[in-house]
Amino acid sequence: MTAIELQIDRVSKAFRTGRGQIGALQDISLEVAEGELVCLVGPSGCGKSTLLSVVAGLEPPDAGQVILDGQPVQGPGPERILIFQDGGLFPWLTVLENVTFGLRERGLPLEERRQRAMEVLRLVHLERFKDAYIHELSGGMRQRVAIARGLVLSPRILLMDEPFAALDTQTRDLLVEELRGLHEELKNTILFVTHHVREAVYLADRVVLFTFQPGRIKHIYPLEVPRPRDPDDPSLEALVREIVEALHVEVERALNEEYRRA
Amino acid sequence: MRKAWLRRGMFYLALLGLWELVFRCKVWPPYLFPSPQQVADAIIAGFQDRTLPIGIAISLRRIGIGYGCSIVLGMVLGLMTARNRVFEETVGSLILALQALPSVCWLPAALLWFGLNDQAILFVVLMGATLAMAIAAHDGVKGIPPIYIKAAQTMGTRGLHLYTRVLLPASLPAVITGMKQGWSFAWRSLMAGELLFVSLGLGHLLQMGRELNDIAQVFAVIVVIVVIGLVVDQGVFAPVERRVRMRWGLTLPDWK
Repeated sequence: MTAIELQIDRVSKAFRTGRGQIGALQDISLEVAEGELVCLVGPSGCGKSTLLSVVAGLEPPDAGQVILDGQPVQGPGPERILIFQDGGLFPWLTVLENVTFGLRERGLPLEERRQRAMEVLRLVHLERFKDAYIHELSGGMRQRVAIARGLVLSPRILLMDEPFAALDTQTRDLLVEELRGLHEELKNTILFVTHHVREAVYLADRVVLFTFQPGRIKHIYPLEVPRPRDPDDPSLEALVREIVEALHVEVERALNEEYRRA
Repeated sequence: MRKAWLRRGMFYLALLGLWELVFRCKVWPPYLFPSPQQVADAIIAGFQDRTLPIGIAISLRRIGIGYGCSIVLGMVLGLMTARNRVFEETVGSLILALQALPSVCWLPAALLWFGLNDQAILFVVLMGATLAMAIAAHDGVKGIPPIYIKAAQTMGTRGLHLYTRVLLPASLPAVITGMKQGWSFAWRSLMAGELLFVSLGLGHLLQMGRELNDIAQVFAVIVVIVVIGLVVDQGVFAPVERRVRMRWGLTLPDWK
């Protein structure tokens, strides 16, 4: 077992959900080992994304703390990169300039910035598009640029907030596969929020299921099957079914709650 | 594109024709309504006796200074009101309130404060363009998706760099539209200010035309003022605005 890198220690946080209600994360504790890929699943509004924001340091927790390599997290930092659903790429910069943005903040000389950026752009197969502007790219390409923009900073942890949710199924499958390859090669720690149980089971070392309001950890499913995994593996299939059923209970609770308020 | 220019040319030719026709029908006496020929002659005469070039130079110099200061001041004000809630609630509301006041209303006060000189006019120009600029910058920054700021912060952007590397470029399309608007506010304010005393600018030439009962000169100066305003708007701001919007992915390249 490798060392514990990230400790989410009894974190609680009230937040506004997308529907304008107040939600709460309650007493979340999770330890993530170096190089581990953890998927967070749960009904919308359960606070998965808020948890990522807290780990990223963009929002402070109401209680508890996040500890990275023994140091409590205070504010955002490039060792914890958050990748958003719609990329958050800068439209006024080219692909290459987007990827070198963080290196420039770090004060690296131009030549080195370019060199490092081109390396990661090759990893995500976008080196030919280095001079394109963001609006000229497809959705899948944009997410790959967003991943490259994060990876180039060699973060300890990648926080991915439903990064493939806005993509069509084919592109999504390709990117999941690409992410798996990147993880195998670079061994970054990854916290990955998704709605897709199958995707989570295909990728994760552990799948963490959240309850709905208050957002708590309901269950953690460890996966020992080595990657790359066969999506049709019957043992995985059984686990997918198990998680989906547990998730349905929570989604139903979420819906009932919504009807009650409406 | 070429067709558009053709149509535009035809339209203005027709307008000139209509003008000539109205003149020949003698709807109004010629000392109130000049012919296109008389106006053209007045423009040529103005260039020959150098009153027009001097007036243009003086007005352009004033607007260069006044508008330049307005952009800087407006940007700073707009950024501050957009990023600070207390500023937004206080200074921001004052900016909106003052925007309702035509800037030339400041001229009497400016004359009392500064006397009959350039400073008074510059003050009026400043009041005209700064507010429009500040509002545009404010709206521009407010309209930035928060995700850009968050993304930059996780990549290590701090302090001043957040303004220079994220907020400013992200709001640039709105800011350029604001600069364009600020320009026309500044130009109008300048003309209004120059009308009111011996200022030697284009506005003053307009006023001289009235005093000499020379309607052709009045029209000539109006034409010059319109042309300068148009040239700057279409020749300077429009292409910049188009290029920025295209690069930011806000319009399709073949958008007309």
